[in-house]
This record gives sequence, C-alpha cells and structure tokens, in this order.
Amino acid sequence: MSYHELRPPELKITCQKPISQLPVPKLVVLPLQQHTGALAQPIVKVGDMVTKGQVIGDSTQYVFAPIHASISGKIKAISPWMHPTLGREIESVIIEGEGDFEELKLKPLGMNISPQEISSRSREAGLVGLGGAAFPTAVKLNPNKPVEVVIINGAECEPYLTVDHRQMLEKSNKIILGLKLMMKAVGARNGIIAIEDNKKDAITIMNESVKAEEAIKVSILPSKYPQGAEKVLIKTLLKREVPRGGLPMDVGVVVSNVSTAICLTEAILEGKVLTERVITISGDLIKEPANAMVTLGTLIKDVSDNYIKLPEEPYKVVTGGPMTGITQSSLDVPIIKGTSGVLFLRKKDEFMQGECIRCGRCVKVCPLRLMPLYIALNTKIEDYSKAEYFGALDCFECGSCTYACPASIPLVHYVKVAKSEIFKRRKVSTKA
Amino acid sequence: MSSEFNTKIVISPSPHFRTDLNPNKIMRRVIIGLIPVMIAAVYFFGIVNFLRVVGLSTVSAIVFEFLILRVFKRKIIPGTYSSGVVTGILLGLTLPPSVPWWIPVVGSGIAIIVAKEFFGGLGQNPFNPALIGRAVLSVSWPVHITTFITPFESLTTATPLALLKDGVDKLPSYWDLFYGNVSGSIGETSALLILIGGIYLLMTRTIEWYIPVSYLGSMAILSLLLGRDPVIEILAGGVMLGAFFMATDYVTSPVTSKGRLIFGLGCGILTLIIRAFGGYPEGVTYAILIMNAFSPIIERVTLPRKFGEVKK
Repeated sequence: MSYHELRPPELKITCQKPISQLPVPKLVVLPLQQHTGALAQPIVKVGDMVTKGQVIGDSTQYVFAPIHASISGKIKAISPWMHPTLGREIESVIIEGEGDFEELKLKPLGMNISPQEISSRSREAGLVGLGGAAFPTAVKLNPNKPVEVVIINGAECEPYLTVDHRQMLEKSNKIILGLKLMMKAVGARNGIIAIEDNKKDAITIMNESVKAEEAIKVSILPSKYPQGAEKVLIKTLLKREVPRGGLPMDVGVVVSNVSTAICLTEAILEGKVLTERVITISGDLIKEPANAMVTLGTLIKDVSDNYIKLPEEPYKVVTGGPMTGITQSSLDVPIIKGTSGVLFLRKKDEFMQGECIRCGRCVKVCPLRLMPLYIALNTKIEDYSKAEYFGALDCFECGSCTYACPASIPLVHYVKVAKSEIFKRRKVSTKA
Repeated sequence: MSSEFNTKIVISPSPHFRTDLNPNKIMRRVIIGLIPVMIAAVYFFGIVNFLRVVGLSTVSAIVFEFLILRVFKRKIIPGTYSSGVVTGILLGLTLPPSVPWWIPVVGSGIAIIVAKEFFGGLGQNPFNPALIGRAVLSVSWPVHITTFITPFESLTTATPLALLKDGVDKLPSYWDLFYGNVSGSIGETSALLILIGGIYLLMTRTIEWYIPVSYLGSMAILSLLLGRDPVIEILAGGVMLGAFFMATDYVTSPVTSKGRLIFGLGCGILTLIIRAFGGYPEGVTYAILIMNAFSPIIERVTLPRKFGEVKK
C-alpha cells in the first residue's frame, strides 16, 4: 500500500458472543429521517393504533426508504426528538407499546424474481445500508451504470464492533442469498465477500458456504484501518479508484454491508420489513459486552439499563465505532437503522492539544492521500478555498489522521467545519 | 428525563481513540538517539569540554526558552521545552570542543530566541534553530568556530575537511573517520555512533529513511562524478549528524515523502558544491538552511495525487 498502516487496538471483545435478543421496549422513538435522502412524512396521527411492520412514514421521493412501526401500540406523539447522528432534533414518531399484535409482513417471494422486484421490495421493506451511512438499498440496487461486481463488506475495521463478524458466523446462508439477489438486481456477474484476516472463523465459514457458488468468492483483506471504507475496500480488492465525488458504480462496483444482505434475504423470502437490527454493545465501561438484536427506536437508556450500571465519573456514550462514531449528549437518543453499535467509554485523560509540528503522520496515514494538516490550518484561519484545495471535501472522516496526530489536533473536526462552511458559501453564492 | 446524567456525559469529536505518541515523547526519542553521539563526544574530547560546550548550550537553551515564554506571555504547548533541549544539544554538538564558554550560550540564545520564538515558537520556525545558531556564531566569531583540537591530546589542528580543502594528502584513515578518532566538532566526528542513533530513530519510526538516504546517496554519487572520495565526503564533517538529526527536523522539512527525497537530494548537492567550489571547507549548515527555505515550495510541487483524482 502507498500509505502507512494504521492499526488501532482491535478490542473485539464481543466476537465470541452469540447474538442475543434485547427485550422489546415499552416505548420507541422513530425519527422520520433515518437515511441519506428525503425526510419521511408521517402517515399516522397521534392516538392511532399501529401494528409492528406497518408503514408510518412515507414519501414519493426517489432516494428514500419508508419507516415502519417497530412495535405494535399507540402513537403517543409526533414531535421533535434528539437525533443520534444529525446532532439536532428531528420530527419523530413516538409509539407506546400496547397489546400483543402480530407482526405485519409482506408477501414472501421466491428467488426467481425480476431485478425490478428486488429493488422495489427493498424499498417497501425500508432497507438502507446498515453499515452506518444508511443509503437506501433500493436506489443502490437500481444503478444507472453497468455493474460487474457486488462486494459484501465484511471488513468491519472499526474497533469494538462485531456485528458483521457475528452475522457471518451465524447467518452465512442468508448473506450468500442476499448477495445473489443483489447480483441479480444490478446484473453483476461476480460477487465477493471481503473479510479482514483477523476474523479467521468467519473466513472459514464463509468459504464453506460459497463452495457451491461459482460466481462468488471470499477475499481476505489485511486487517488495518480503514479497510472497510468503501473506496479503500474497492482499491484493495480490485485496484480500482472510485473517482473523486463519484460512486462505486462508476468503477462497476456495488458494495453492501453484511447486515443489509441478510435483511434483503429476509425481506424477499420471508417478507420481513426493517424493524430491528443487530448492534454491538461494548466499551471499556461495560462488564458484559454483547451483540444484540434490538428493536429500532429503542432508547439508549433502555439498552444501558440491560447491560451497564453507569459510573459516577464522566463518560462517553458513542453510537457507531470509536473511530467514526458520534458522542451522544443524552441517553434518550434512539437506535436507528444506521446504528451499528453503542459504546460506553471511560473518559480518558486527554492530551493537551498542541501546535502542529509538521511531522507528516497525518499525511502518511490518510487513505485518500489528502493533506489533513493544511486542511486544519486553513480552516483555523478561515481560508476555506485552501482547505478545499487540500482535500476537505474529499475526506470521508475515517479519523486516521486524528488518531495518528501526536499533537492531539482534532483534524477531522476541522474537516467537518470546513465542509459545512464550504457548503454554506456555495448555497449563498447560488442564491445570489 | 435523565437530565441528571447529562452533566456526566462528555461530548467530543471523533475519533474516540488516539495514538499514545505526543511531541514530548518524540523529542525524548531524539534525545535518546543523541545519547551515543554524546558518549562519543565525552570519549574523544573529555567530560570538561563536553560540559562546557554541550552542557552549557543545553542548559542555556532551557533558560532562554523559559525567559522568552514569559516575556512574550506565550502559552507552553506540548513539546516546547523538550524541543528546546534537542535544539540545545544539537547546537552544542556542532561546535568545536575548544570554544570558550560563552559561545554555546550566545548560540543557544540566537537559536531559541531569534530562530525559534521570534517566528512563533515550536512548529512555526522556517529554519532549523540549531543551525541558525551555528551559522550566526560562525560568521560572528569565525576564529573560535574554526579552531579545532585533536581527540584525547587536545592539540590544535586542522579538520580532515580543511586538510582536503588545502590539498594536503595526509588524510586520516577511513577507520579513524568512521570511528571518530579525528578532529572536528565535538559531536560530529564519530560516524559510527551517529549511525547507531540514526538507526534508533528509524526503527522507532521517529524519522523516515527518505532524507538520510537521499542526502547521503546524492553526496556519494555527486562526489564520484566530481572525482572526489565519497567515503571521506560522507564520514568527515557534519554530514552524518546533519543527515540523520538536522535535515530530518519535522518543522523545517517537507511533509510529503517525495518532498523529503528532493529535500535530502538538495542538501547533498549543496553540501558538496559548497565544499568543492565554495570558500568554506564544510557546507552542511548552509546546505540545510538553504533547503529549509525551499521546503514550502518543494512541498507544493510534490503534493500527492488525491485518491480518485484524474490527471488532466
């Protein structure tokens, strides 16, 4: 590789823990924005009774996935609620569990369905990429460019997280079926299941499962960060570089998360809609870390009540992994479609932020060969066009530079500031 | 609802992990890398000379750092003092063992106050402070800076490079040059011990190979082309210390890999040009300082191609 290897501690302490079922909560909060794309419009009213699996938020927009009730009960309120990734309050549907209704399911389909049906069923079932970015699956499975390869991303390079790892061990057949459905949907001839070499058991099981499949192979990736980032993954596997500002399909590739493939299989063969997902509950504060199936909309405090006695001293609650995850300001934030984990971390004594000594480590570890130090420097002095020149808009915020910085400069934070300022300015200039 | 928790929940930008490296740790490694060099200095030129030159330059660097931070009311950032110590040691090591006590003190003052803090302190200085200190001393008190003594006996003598410049052919053996049993600046004579320190820096990934290799490599090739002895050019004078400890200074060299290669190449070429065609027998100080000035532009022309960028 052309950049230094970054190997943060793996801390995959839950990789031997089978997926358990978290109790269904009494109350769920379902934000009407859970994916990249359009905001859902509520199609229920306060006081309505809903059944698990029923659509509660919909839209006619193309880049969209509907939102379903994740428990049966009564709509208690439709009001703004703190969102786990957007950092502000978003209109959300709050359901209070009532009765013991059956789950609403779609009509099960067979494997012999058309590409269009696969894509439209993905939408009906509310599927989005479950790796974190939450891009609507139906849109991804309807590419406007020829696709040769579908890659199932089992890299899972973020420390702590073991969601994909466990699912590869426990649901390998559903992953293969999901991959085949995706290949059919996009017209790809080849499928790759890509796994980092630190997950030997998953490699063995997946290899076993693809034995009968001619078009599918398992590829082993070196375990290093950020191997699971789409662009890095494609580069490692196929030596192709997704063009700046482009999508994987520009190089004939579609990449999907492991969990998404499983949900697609279940949506088509069982008619299941997306109302729950697997998350890793971990961190250095947790005594009994776990992988658990949770109902979407479950508040973090309902998760923590089951797993942890929160400490007296300050701590961090992070959704996602420790490299890219977001700290939450309260425990009343819901688990949404894109939430891959909840981490409870001790607050470490942070090093004092220093001045850049130009050691170049951020440059060496950047997978996109950007200049993080100059993005930060120019953002500090508010020269955003320079920040853009050094790659602010290219950055996918993997956190490698900040991890490597000996002076403890929050480089990714500066990148985020630069991005929002650049977009703000663009908006103003197009208006004028 | 659970607002009683909120005061305890800490909000911070990602990532929530970071390396345990910090500027002080880096500087500590450089100091450890310099220990073999300092041992050589004590061994060849005695503890008294060592303390008067390197000891005083280091202590005065710390004192000047302390004073200037107060005068400028500047915040102490991680690495301020430890980098000052490195500057002090490096300056001392480049001075002749016989200089009077005030030479290292004045040199450190110039290095820390003028070359480092006047420009904004750690990370901001365009030129290597230790080399600025040495350059100012050598133009201000040329006699002190060019009077050298032999190891052990402390007899006044000329350096191998001065002999070379004057066309004398009684040069020391390769082994004496490598081992350090020659006259010269107190910390520059033993290529062997500098190499040990340099290898330590490479192995701990404190420095990268680009600058030392391109510096020494270009010296070797160019001296062959000019019909000079590459072994003497590399082992004599300040090239070894310069290539491993001065030219690799993060602050004053490019951050890009290609840039570091070009930087080392330039240092090698300039050192040899000064030695072969210039008025001085030695050229390391000025070669590196000149390349320091080129560092920003080298960096600009060696920006790596961004991922997914198509060259037009």
